[in-house]
Amino acid sequence: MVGDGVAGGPMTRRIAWTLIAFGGVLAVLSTVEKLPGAEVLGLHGVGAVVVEAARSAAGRAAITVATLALAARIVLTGGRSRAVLALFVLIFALAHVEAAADLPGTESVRHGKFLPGAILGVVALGRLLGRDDPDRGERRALGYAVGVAATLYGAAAVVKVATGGLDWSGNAGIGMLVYERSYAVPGAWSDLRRAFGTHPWLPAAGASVVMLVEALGVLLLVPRLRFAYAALATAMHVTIFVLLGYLYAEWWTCLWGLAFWTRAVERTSEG
Amino acid sequence: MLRARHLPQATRHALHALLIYGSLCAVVGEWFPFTRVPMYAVLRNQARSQAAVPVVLVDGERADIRHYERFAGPDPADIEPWYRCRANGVCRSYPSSDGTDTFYAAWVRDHRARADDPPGPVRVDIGYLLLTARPDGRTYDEELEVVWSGTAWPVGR
Repeated sequence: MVGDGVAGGPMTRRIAWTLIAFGGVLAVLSTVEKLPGAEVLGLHGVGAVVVEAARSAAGRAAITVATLALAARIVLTGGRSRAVLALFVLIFALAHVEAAADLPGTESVRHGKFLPGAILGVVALGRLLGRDDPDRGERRALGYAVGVAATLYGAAAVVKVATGGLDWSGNAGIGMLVYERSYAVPGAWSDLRRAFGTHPWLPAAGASVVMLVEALGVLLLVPRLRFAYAALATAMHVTIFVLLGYLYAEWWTCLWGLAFWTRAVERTSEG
Repeated sequence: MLRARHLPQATRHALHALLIYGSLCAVVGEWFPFTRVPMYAVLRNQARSQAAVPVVLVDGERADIRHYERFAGPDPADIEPWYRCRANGVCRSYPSSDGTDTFYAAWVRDHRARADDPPGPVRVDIGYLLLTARPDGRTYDEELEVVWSGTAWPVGR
């Protein structure tokens, strides 16, 4: 997957794929406890066996072990098998189906699983299209993955503007959401959330910053800015975790993975 | 004039992916692996004046429902979110922004007491903490509404 001809490749590639695989494993492990509804099984025949296996503790353990084994193989061998990737994407897609079925209306939970799954899928596509030249195929795969990541972050800003206009951030619902989360996720940050949620202008300011960071996702198209954007987006996600309790670890680990992978590809090209 | 072919190959592939994937997401909508990423976008034009936080109280204190089993009490469908009506015909919905109420209902349903189980040692109340915005739009009145009450056993006892 990272490639034919780069067996035991540079450490940066291993770091990159560790981060991306970790993001995917996180998504699967955090989702296997959510069981699908009957209507989901009816609509999604493919993978029904795996879904049924997830209903039992033994089945969930087997899926978890298999997923960890796949991630370990990716790390230790440089992920040379497309079958590994295909199976990983399948598990991830099924995990998404489970999450969507069990928690209707919770858009943020579903979307927490998106980025690594979509990335793994287009990486496979890029490698397939570039199979005659491993180096070019890898650059194509990386490009596709970055394009998907930039799309997802940018779309989050675009949809907000399309729905609520440029002053989307100036709505009272944001403060209420943070205040609500202070009770929904009790713990160390509850007092901070209540103070933030009732502040006269902090919710609007914070939402504006989030929209700006999302819109800057297009910076991922520039290879030299990927580390910078990974840091910026991680800061945004950490802030969202403090205020709302959603970590989105899958997303920012993948961003760092893409940044490291870019560095590895650039060094290969220079060599 | 800058053309796509003038861009580095890596950037060109990323730009192609952005345009194609973005277009497919806009057309297809919410179907994995496509999405328009609508997270909280509707907060602006579907403003809430009230929020409902699903809560579980064990002997009056907030608790993690996963630490309890063998629930005895009314039909856990009473915990379900969305539109529900009471026995007296009064109907209302609960504006909860997360799905934990669905999880609570499923947990109680999947961990019901058997017919021969004695009543549990703890009292369990499941309901909603209702947060209603005051006229200033920044502070809130808080009220607890219980929708299900029963007993349960701590896990393992």
